[in-house]
Amino acid sequence: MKKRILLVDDEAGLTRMMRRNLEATGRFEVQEVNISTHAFTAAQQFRPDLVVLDVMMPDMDGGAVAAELADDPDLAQVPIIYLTAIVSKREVEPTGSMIGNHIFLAKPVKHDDLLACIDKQLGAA
Amino acid sequence: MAYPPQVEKKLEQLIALAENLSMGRYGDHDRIFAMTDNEQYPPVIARLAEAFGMMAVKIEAREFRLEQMVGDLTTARDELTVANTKLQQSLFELQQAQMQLIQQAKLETVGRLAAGVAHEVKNPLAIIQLGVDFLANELRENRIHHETVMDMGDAVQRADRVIKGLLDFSRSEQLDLKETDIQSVIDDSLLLVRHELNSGHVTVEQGPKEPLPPLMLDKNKLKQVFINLFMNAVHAMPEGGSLTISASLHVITPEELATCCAGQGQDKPAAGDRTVMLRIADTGTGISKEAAAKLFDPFFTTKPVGVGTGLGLSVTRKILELHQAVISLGNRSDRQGAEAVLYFTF
Repeated sequence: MKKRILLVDDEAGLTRMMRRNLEATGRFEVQEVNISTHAFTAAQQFRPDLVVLDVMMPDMDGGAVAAELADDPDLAQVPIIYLTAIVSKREVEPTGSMIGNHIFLAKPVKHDDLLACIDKQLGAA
Repeated sequence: MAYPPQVEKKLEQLIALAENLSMGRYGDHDRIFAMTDNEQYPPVIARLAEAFGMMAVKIEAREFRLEQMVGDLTTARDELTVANTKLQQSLFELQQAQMQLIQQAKLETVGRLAAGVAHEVKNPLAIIQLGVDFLANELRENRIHHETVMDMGDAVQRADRVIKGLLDFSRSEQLDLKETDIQSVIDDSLLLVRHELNSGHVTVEQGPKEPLPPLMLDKNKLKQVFINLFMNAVHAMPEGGSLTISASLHVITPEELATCCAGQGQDKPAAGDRTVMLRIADTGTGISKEAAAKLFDPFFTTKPVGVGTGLGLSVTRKILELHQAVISLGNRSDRQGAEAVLYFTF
């Protein structure tokens, strides 16, 4: 059964590219959200196995979206991969680094690295 | 017309004395004035001798005054020369100060722009990267198409390196200082560039490891400094060569301090301070005169397009400044390559 991935980033071009790459593997069902305030509702309806979440977004940043997810008992356990343009790759491993309790990927991320990180998180979940 | 022999003789004497005078010999005044004796000499000779004597005395006095004036002028000229040298020195210092200010302003501008630009550019880069990944997968069967897309991917990575350099630069302000053994930071940094050293046929020679005091360092930032310097050395030795690293205790001299790059922070070491001196020398192409003046300018690079971002040494200098350390970059005294000398106070 395909794993469901929710992509939350205000850059529509970016979520579209991630979706195309992920869908091309044939292993994922992907939904995109480009308005962060819609992310929680989308997650409630889509029931993702994993969320890829941009950190800096207008209206509501990634941290606030994550807090909403954590408050919902059905979504609290869903692993989140944070995508950020703020940290550079030198500070995070290509396939993701833990900062606090969160896993971070630095933009621009390569598809293979994103895939490896998703697999790791889904395997661990 | 003939004169009496006595007059003729006296005139001959006066002629001889005039010749002496013309050659600057002034010791004959007594002999001249002896001839003014009316009892012994015809009155006309006595008068001539008197007039001649007075002239000799005045010429001597004038020449004396002239010599004094030449002496005064020489002194004045020497004073002017000294004043001119001082002025030139002041001008040089002013120009240096102006260059430092410009440099400082440039660095601050780059720092301010960096974070904002980095964020704005990283998103489009991320889209291109993922697009490239997608197309590379789709076009795997067609070699030309696949190569084209992979070249685009390389370009994205190159742009990302520049952005990374900018972020490093803007973020070099924050330090995480801990008591650190500098030798261990060198060893860690060498490990990180081991691949580049090996593939570039660069051998590493480390000097004797003398006991050094622990320094307050930000280990990660310092690693960045060493990696930059090591990579510069590797790039300066395209045919391979040798990288010599030595660390020792050293009292910094005014001459050494003067060779350290301009525009460094207020808390830099002072002459006579005890320092840990680190010398990183290569056997590469050395530093040209033109490059020497711009080494620490942001975006200055001598490396081929795509190899250098031109930010390595700006970041290096900034990190060292924050550690109250200074760096001198130049050619080795034996002209066999370039060397970086770093001084850390403790």
